[in-house]
Amino acid sequence: MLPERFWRATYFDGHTAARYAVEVRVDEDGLTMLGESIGPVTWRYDTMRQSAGLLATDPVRFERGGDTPEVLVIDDGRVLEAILALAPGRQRFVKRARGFFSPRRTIAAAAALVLALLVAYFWGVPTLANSVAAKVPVSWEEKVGSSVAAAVAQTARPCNDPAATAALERIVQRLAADGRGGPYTYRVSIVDDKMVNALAAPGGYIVVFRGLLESAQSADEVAGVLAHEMQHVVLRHSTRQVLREVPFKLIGAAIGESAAIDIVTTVGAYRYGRADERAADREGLRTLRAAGISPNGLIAFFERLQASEGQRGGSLPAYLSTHPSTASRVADLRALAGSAAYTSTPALDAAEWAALHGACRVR
Amino acid sequence: MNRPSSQQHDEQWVENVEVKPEFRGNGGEFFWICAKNVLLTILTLGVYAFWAKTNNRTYLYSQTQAGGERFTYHGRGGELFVGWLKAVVFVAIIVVGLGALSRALDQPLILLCGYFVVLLFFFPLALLGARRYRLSRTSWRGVRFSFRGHYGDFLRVFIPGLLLTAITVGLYFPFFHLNVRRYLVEHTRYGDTAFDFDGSGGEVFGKFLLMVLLTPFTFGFYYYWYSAWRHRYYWSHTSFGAARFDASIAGGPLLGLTFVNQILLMFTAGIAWPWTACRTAKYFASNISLSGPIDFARIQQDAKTANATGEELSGMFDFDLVGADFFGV
Repeated sequence: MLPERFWRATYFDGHTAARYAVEVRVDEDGLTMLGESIGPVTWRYDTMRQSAGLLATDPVRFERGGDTPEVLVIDDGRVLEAILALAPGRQRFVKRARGFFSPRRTIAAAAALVLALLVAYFWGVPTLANSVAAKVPVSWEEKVGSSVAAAVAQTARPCNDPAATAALERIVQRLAADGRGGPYTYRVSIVDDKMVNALAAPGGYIVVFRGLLESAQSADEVAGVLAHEMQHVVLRHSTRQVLREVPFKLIGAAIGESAAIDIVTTVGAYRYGRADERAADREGLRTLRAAGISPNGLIAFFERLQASEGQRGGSLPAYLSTHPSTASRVADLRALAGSAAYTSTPALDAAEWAALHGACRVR
Repeated sequence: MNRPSSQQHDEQWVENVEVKPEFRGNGGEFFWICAKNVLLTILTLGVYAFWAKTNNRTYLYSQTQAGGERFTYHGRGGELFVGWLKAVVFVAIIVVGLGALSRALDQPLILLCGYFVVLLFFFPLALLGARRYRLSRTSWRGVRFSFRGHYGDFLRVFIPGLLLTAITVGLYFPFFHLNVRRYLVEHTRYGDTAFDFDGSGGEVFGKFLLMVLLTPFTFGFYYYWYSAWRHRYYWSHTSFGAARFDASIAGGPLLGLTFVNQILLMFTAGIAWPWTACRTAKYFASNISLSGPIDFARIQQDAKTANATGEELSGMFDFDLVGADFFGV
């Protein structure tokens, strides 16, 4: 069967928005437009280009001219086959209509993508982040950590209390002795804020809030918290967290939908945050044991935290929190610490503890 | 098929025409374009994002038709990339300059105030630049759209409006929003023919107050009815020559559209985005229309917009973050 030579088309002259209904004849050297008001005009193949019609369902669109070209639209995509058949040697010019994949294959590909994302999310990205985190130089972490610590210090009054700081440093030295602190140099500072809080920035920067020192009942409690915070540094939790988010941020930028990605990374951060806290608890206990400090301080600290949470009534559901529930942490710590008793000495002597307990009072 | 015997301009007459847009794309097709975009963007560490954005627009525009003719997007990824590089240099100069100034004078406050002022002037510049860029690269029936607004003029609408909104604790907002819309619409052209806008803030104000009062008591649901009403109001006060737009966007369907889209995105970790984008395009396209007398043969191409000298400068502000959607452009 001979290919069809005549095709119904629409012509726009590029000067006005008027539409001309025309008929197009496929010739060997070009397309000839036949219309009452525009007469027979031939577009030679080498003066025109195809600008749409790659999708099988789209009209085919030809253009001729510069920035505001004449346009010829042919609704029936089979015209491309006709050109290929009737004008051999012009194949370079024609972009073939490309059928998209079937709905079944689209669904299969989308499902495969979901699966790939799940694998990447639960296994690939964390594994990659952990191995990269292990190779990040300590000096880089120190740079980040010092600016984080400086930012925290700026939000509160600094606490200029050399005796308290010295007592804190003594505990840290005891905990970090014999290589237990990893390759880091620990820099502890106290901020004059009533919040019961302490945080560890990458590279060994530890910030303790006055409120925590005040509420602690013994030096062993402070030592327990410090052992926990130091493990965040040793296990590089912040560095891993940042690295885990990078791939998702990239995808967000790619699809221009960062809000959805933010939800994914935030829930992820919470999930890994809880795992990180448990790891720091576990390794913190091990550090205390090796340093000969009683684990009961850390446990007592969390028990008091649990009691005050109970008074306030309720807390966030576990999946919406970066920290595991205090009750479950106390239970885990008891189970771990209870297995073997060991001889311990108090983390500080009475005078040092008094200085630490009343930190920032004297100015 | 024989040789044609009669052809003519379709519309030489000047009588009532109804131009109804229609979105013909589907998520299944768009998915493959997006999948390629994401893959290449990751492989190129983000550089491909500009081409990805262009691919998306090319698809979405070309799948939208009005009166039987498809829209065409002429933008190119390279333009966006160059524009972005310029924007980065521009922003870097401002940030470094302000930082140096505040250090030299030992006044951290200068940095903060400086950023605020820069943002205040940057936002309208970006809003205008993005609109100018996109319209200049959109055509229909072979004729380009364009934007003829001037930054200085727009500032006189934008800055006082923003300040009044702040002073009145937001009460002036509907007037501000409408005036911005008016400026954007009235400086938009198709070929050599301008769009017009005759809405008035006073007519929106009552609905706005109702929205502020009802939204908290309806768990935010009422906002969708207000938003739909505002879409209808804005469109029905927009005209093109002697023809007028109209919209049938309604609160219930708008809420349903948003809700279902969010659910789809959440349960597929975002993979449903091509489908949700098509759903949104389909809804808005099929609920807007233009009717009245239009003489297409008299709408002239205005060629100078196609190679405007400020092309790359405007392209530089083609970010999605600058609230083009916020002003319903």
